[in-house]
Amino acid sequence: MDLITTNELCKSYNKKLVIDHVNMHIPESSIYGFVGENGSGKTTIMRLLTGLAEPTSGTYELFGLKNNDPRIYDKRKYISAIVETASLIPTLTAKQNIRYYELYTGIELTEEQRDELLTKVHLHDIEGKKVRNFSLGMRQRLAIALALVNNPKLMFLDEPMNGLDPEGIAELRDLLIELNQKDGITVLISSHILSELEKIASCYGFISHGKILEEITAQELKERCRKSLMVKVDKLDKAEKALKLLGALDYKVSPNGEIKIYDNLKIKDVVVCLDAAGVELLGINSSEESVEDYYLNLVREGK
Amino acid sequence: MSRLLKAFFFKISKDITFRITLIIGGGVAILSVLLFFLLDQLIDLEGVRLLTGHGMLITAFSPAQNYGIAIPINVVSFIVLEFTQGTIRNKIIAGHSKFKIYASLYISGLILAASLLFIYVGTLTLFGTIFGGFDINVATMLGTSGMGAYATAEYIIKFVIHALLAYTTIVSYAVFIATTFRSMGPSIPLVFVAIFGLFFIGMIYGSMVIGIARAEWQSYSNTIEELAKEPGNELAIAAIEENMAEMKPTYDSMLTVENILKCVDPLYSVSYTETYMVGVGENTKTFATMDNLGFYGGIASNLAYSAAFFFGGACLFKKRDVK
Repeated sequence: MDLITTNELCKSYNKKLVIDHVNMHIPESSIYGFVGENGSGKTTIMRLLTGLAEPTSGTYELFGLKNNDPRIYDKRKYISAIVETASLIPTLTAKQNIRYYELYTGIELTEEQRDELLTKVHLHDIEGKKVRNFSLGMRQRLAIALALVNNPKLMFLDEPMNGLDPEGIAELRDLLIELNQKDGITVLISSHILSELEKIASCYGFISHGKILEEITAQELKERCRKSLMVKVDKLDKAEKALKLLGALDYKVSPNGEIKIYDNLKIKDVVVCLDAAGVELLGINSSEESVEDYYLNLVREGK
Repeated sequence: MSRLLKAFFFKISKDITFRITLIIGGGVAILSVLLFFLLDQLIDLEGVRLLTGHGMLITAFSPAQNYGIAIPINVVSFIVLEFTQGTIRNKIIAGHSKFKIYASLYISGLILAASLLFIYVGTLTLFGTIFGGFDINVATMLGTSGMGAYATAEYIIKFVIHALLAYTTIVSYAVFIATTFRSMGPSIPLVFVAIFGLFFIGMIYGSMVIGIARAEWQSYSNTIEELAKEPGNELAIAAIEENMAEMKPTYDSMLTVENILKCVDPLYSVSYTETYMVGVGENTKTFATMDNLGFYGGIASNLAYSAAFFFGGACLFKKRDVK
């Protein structure tokens, strides 16, 4: 079941279409990695889904409710978000910021729960320190702590790794995995650190120039990105038989004459084997794509 | 909504700027009392006292004087910070409707303004009363009326009602401007221009245009009344009446403009004290007054402006995206 769906969602600023008929599907209990270049529309989509901005046209559904359904306000209680910058009051301490957040969300935490929350983000030893004296990373950690106050079912995290040191990034990654796996929290996360996204995302949405290029599960992406040897031949049947004899078990045949082999076969052996089977080799290519390569290819194809 | 207001009270209780402004308010009030007390000791104003409780009450309520202008600036600053710190964003994400958020900002602005206003007015009136008494039979300084006017209990009540409504309009405007521009840059000058603009329109027209004409007219009227008490003054009365007849068309048109101002300028009755004179020569006594048009027209215009800024601001806030 999808927790969020968008239907031809559009957003214009000064008559310029920045979100162009977007259709997204974010499954419940998934970690949805949102990938796109700067200015591609990731943040705008998050702002639309969190209610900070109104769509110019199109609709979206959150928890099964349309964006213009008044009952959606109640559902937003289960949402937390860090969009663009951390929303903190610099003249208050970390605990006071949490208390302020509690008051307007109507949540009452105990002193122990507040301590626990701060411990979770490694801010337990800064008692009395005002947020204005925090480093960028500390602010980001506190923003994450605030995002956890309401025990959310859905989190929007826009570049949450910005400002975090490698240790902080790893901790955030572990925390998100824990929240997702233990509590089933759905996370929509954008990040420029695609290698980190790869470690946590269960599905992806690729966006460029306000358009969704593709939505794909992590499993599908893994398959498409794993190391492969692509051969293009004139006789598919013969080639398939020959490759099987050579020991190929994991491969995909495309009707256009391409076979993508995922087994670890030597190029030399494949060439000899196909030649021996009387198959003309029209092309051969070895590749291993990263998420980044995959995205860049998508953008190129999109252009 | 109550949750948003609870959060506001928490935030304001921890706000050092707010505390400092409160202390400054109290401090400025005490210093003003000391200054007027000293002036009363040094200068003999022939029965007129600068420092009285009721005089301080009326002067303190004036929106464009001293501390009065600090109030909308504090309101603007408080609201702009909600935007720049991103707390508005979190409130929307948490599921509060934009109307409720705007309403909570509006109420917060009113509470903030009332706290700052009452500490100043309260201190000034309290110390003014302690050192100068609260006797309405004593002529005193009343806002822009100059020195030596008497204030009746009715006038004081009417003025306080007007001043409270004027501050409501000012806060409504400050909230509207702050939520529309969302930064201190344009908001502060716009608040300054509007308050001082309206204040000076009232003060200049009231004191220097209609005020002078009214004083002249009343002086003629009172003189005729005095002359009529004794026989043989017919010629003098006729001469004054001729002057009055010449003056009447201009005076009437001035009164018409004033009547319009009373109904459209929400700060008119708090920026200018209308007075009337009793007696002639050395026996002249000046009383502050507020006629029915000024009183009800002012109430209506303040309520209309406040409602327009509130609903206009809420609609605009609802329509616009939050960054």
